[in-house]
Amino acid sequence: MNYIVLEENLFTIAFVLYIVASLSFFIFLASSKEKLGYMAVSVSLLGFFVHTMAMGARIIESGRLPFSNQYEFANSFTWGIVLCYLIIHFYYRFTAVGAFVMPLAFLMMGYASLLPRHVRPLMPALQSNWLAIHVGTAVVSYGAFAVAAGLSFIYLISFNKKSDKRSLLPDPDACDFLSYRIIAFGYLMLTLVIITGAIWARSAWSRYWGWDPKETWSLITWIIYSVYLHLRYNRGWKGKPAAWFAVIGFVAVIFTFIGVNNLLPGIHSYR
Amino acid sequence: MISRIKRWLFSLQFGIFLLILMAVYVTFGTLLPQNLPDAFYVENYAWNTLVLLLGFNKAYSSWIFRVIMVLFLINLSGCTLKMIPSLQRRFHHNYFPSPTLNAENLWPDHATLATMLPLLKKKGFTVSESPDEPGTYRAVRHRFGVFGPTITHIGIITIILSSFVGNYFAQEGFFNLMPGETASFHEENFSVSLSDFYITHREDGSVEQYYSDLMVLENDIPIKEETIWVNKPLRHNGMMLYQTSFGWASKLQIRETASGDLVQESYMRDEETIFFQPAHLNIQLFGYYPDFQIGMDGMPLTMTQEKRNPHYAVVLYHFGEFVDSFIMNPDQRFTYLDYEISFPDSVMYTGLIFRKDYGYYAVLLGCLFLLAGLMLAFYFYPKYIYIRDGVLHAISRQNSWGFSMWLKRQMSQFNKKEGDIQ
Ligand code: HEM
Repeated sequence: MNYIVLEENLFTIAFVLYIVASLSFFIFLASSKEKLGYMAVSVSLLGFFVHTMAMGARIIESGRLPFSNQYEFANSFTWGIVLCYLIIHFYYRFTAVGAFVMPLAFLMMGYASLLPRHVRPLMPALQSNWLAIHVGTAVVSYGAFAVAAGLSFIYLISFNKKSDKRSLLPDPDACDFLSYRIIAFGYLMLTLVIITGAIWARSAWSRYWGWDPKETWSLITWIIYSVYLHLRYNRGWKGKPAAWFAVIGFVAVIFTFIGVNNLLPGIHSYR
Repeated sequence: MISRIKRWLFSLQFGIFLLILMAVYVTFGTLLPQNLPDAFYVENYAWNTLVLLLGFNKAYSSWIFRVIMVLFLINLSGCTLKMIPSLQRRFHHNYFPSPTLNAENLWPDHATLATMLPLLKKKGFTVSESPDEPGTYRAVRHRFGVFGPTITHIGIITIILSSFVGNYFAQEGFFNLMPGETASFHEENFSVSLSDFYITHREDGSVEQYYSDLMVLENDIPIKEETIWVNKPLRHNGMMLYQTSFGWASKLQIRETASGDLVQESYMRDEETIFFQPAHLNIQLFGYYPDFQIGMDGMPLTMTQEKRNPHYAVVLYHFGEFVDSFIMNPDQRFTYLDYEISFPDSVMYTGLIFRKDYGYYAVLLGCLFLLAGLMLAFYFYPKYIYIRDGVLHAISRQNSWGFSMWLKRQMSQFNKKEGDIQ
């Protein structure tokens, strides 16, 4: 069996399923037909299943976790977003959140599809057990921030329309609270990402912190979410300012992930 | 006045302001190339006066950045200390917050006090009757979680302080060794010698790994032998040695043309110059090019690190005057005056970084505090339940919504169970 061809086909199927899911979510929001909501979630679930198989095929082909070049990061990142979304969905039943999260997933996957995807062996600096923990936590953390950004976005467009009972959007207060919980989790993971990265940097490059652009941008992201957490503490400020910080934080996540590699070269840019 | 300044200096507002300032400041550091000569910025940036004035050209070591960090340390320490008395009060076993006025009543339909209280105990809550209101019960869990933010903050303070102090005292540098050579660390009282350096390649020609076989000696007595590679440094007396780079050292031989006697033999790294006194010659090895081609810019370009078809680019000076430059292979000789110059062979040398920094361990300790504090703040935060027959309120400062949600779930299980029994 040729696992690479298999991976490519499964990847394409998953990609199409994510697009279908995103469209269904939008039509669901516009038409208020609950059935469409169920369908959108089912398609997302199916897409996630196919995507997981695609990742599995790649793992078998390369003999390692798919964490070592930009294509693999983007692919894993997409997987993390959908995973976090599905967990949140099945725990809290916020169908409409998918309309704001699944498009992010398919955009990220579209970005992945543009990148060279050949399986290459690991360069010496990447041959470390820390790679799996470092990137694994990053995938979960970024996925959580994506879902939280979706929720905060819903909050920002709906917090002053409470009277509209027919709205399918979840209750803004619930979005506000839930995005706080998800960000808390993502923040804990991001802290782990930075710490494991520092430990790894010390064993590979001698310094645990070197102000490399990727490191610095992950710190900036971390600072933005630190501000978010404190804004929530100060009763008057939570809600709108906090929601803005959640969205800005996610922009920083995306920049750390894509922008730094393409715009700010440093030792971290493994393409 | 003083107390007003103090209040402001230790306030959360000022802390948030500093965090944002820090983020914006280091952003400039990532956008501009760092630590280049001032002239570079003057040439390339229209706003160069601002760049140099605000220290964006060395953002992570400028005095402005240091001032921000010191203010941040003061702010965070003050803020954390200021919180402690009220946290201690909340930690005290008598403390119990009252439910908010519009708190939702989570009491499930089929419950009685006799079934409710044991259930909560089973869930890990400490349940007690309220001293001032008989018939009212309080359930508490994770009281110690009030210290979550404090521990987080202490972790951050520890990280910043120990990295400052650690970097100040850290020793760091770079050196390279050819097989057989030794480098001494006089202060640490040991030396390392390189037994061998080699690169392993994969089938496709890409580098798999770089290896240095090192021997540690104390007073010239071998203590231990270790092979290091990228991601596996050597550690001795707190000093770490890292594999970081490599290069070629080429063997220069000079013979007398008449007799054929070898009069000088030495290893030269690229761009190194050697003075040969008998002939007043300066011999510069411009570069060693294994398996080279001439690139588009007319310069030699090395295709692989293997020793196929190697060449040497050499420049000669006589009494400081340029004589000639030429490219030769290992079998060729260049004759000048009464001497023959040749480069018969090259060996690889290893490039190593050394670093000794005890601050790292304190930073790690700070990281541990940070993680533990975050766990407490986010998951083991204090959870209080107010109970009266028919009334159940979830109370939490951090996460009222999530805690109510969780309690509702527990209660619905409770209902189902009761239903099953009936
Ligand atoms: C990067 C820096 C910081 C980090 C990572 C951090 C982390 C935290 C965390 C995780 C919490 C608990 C929040 C929650 O449960 O949602 C917290 C609470 C808090 N932080 Fe920070 N903090 C930082 C800086 C600061 C600064 C600079 C100040 C003030 C000057 C500050 C003041 C507070 C206060 C007042 C609380 C609330 C504590 C309470 O009432 O229980 N923090 N911090």
